[in-house]
Amino acid sequence: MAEETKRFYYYANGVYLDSCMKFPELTPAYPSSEKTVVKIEFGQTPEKLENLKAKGVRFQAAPNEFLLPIDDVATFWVKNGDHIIIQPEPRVNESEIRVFFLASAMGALAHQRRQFPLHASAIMYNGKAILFSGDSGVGKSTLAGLFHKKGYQVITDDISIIDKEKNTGQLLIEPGYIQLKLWEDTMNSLHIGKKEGVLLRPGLKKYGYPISSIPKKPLEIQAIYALSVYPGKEILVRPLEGWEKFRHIKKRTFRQKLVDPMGYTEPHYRLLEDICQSLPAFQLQRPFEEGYTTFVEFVENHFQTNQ
Amino acid sequence: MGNIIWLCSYPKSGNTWLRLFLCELLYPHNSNQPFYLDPIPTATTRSLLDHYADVELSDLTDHEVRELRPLLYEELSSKAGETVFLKLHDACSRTPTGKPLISQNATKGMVYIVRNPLDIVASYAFHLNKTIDEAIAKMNEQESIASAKDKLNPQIPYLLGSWSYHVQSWLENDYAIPVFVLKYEDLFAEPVNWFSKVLNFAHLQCTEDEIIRAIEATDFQKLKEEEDQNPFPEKHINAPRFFRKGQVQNWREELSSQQVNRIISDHGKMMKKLGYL
Repeated sequence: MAEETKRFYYYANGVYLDSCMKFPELTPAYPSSEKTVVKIEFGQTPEKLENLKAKGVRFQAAPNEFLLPIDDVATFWVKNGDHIIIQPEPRVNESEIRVFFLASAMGALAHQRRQFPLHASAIMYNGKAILFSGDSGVGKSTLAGLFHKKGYQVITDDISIIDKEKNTGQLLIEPGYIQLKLWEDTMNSLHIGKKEGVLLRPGLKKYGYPISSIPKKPLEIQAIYALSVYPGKEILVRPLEGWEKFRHIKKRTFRQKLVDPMGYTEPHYRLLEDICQSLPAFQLQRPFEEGYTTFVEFVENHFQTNQ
Repeated sequence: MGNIIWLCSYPKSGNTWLRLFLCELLYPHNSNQPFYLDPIPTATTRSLLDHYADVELSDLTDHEVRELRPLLYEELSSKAGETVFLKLHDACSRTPTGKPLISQNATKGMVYIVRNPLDIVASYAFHLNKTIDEAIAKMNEQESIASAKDKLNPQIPYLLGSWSYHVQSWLENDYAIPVFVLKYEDLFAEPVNWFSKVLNFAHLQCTEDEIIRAIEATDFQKLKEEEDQNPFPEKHINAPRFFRKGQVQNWREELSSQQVNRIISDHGKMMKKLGYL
């Protein structure tokens, strides 16, 4: 485990992190006075939250609090949008703690900070963000990896944190982590050697592949593509509007079930409405049989002609 | 007792027909929507399980996912608050620490659909885009795992086993859950009678008119024609289409005598038990 006295400083998802643990997946940055600093510490976590409002198979949620024990790894206690306490299990590897921290704990933190975490990867095109949202396994990270290989900057590969700019009210995406999470078969298809990545967990053929840089500042969002695969022959794309758009974005909200018990129903739905009203969204269907090369060209052409 | 009624079968045994029928009958929807299956998802769908797991299943090892699955179904059952149907292709199995895959806390009952393996073979070969001989071999793989462990598929990996193992594992399971055995051949011959029995088993009340309407709406020929216009969402990646013939005793025209003998040699014991020999 890292020495408790040493601190590490990062910027990700619109917040500065003052951490007890080293995170090679995050952009090093020293806190500026403008933004809130989230403190990450090792410590004792409760077995049960006091004002418990909801619990699932693992998680507990209470107003402004989230508790998540992961067997043999660690328990994460996220509080008030500015504090994360980690209680590691004995002999756990730090890389395993980071896997769950960067997804679940940071996702809960985003809700607590009234941000909108969307299950989506994102790339930068002409200074704006293109988001690819969809279920696990639909190819979000693969698409981000392919666009990265084509020279596009990746903003995030798993969770897109959407925030509202305080003064202008504009919806922006915050830069995420300097890593793509890729399965071995995707590494192979992207011609990335296993040595270029880091195995995320023993027993899992999934790698962290470092990417050299991500945008430094929040970006305007050009469009959200709702990605799916289907057994047809043609690549299909069509605008999503109204109820259909609302339903897609709500369904792809990261851990939507935390919103009510943590006490953010109203601001969350206001932000969801803003997203639906302000951002163009398209349903994008990739045929099972379609190779990614043609698909990427199709998508690239679509977002170029729909600027 | 829980809320889930499992619709369980070896692939290509009539599970989709039963699901389409139940969705048509029980869940009002826009009649223009082809292949309405949303209310009865597959129990191994990654996005469904992610929702109840509180973490991404893709961050867990195969061992951890197997251990977690029974709890996810209990959670799903408890949150549902009323009867829900889930499609299952798993063979009956236990977690690495010995817990039943589906617990009594999650389960209201199971409809186990069984079909003559001689008729399954050609359909399964078509579904996998493999030869009949390859399908026969696949149906006899004791350790057959469906979906891949080393990549991210929309379905998580699960134990399928051989056809005989699959049937035996559920019909002789020690889970102490009520199992209603539905033979595809009976359903084919007397759909009103057997669909009614399924509804009785699930304690669901419907009139005969409603049942007949749902049967007509999910008539095999209609589904085939529908698939000519709209791809079936659960079609296997390699298969030209999903709905093929759906017939009974079609094996007499499609299999050679050597192939028939091989299937009987692999599965004769279980076929006899079920009255297929």
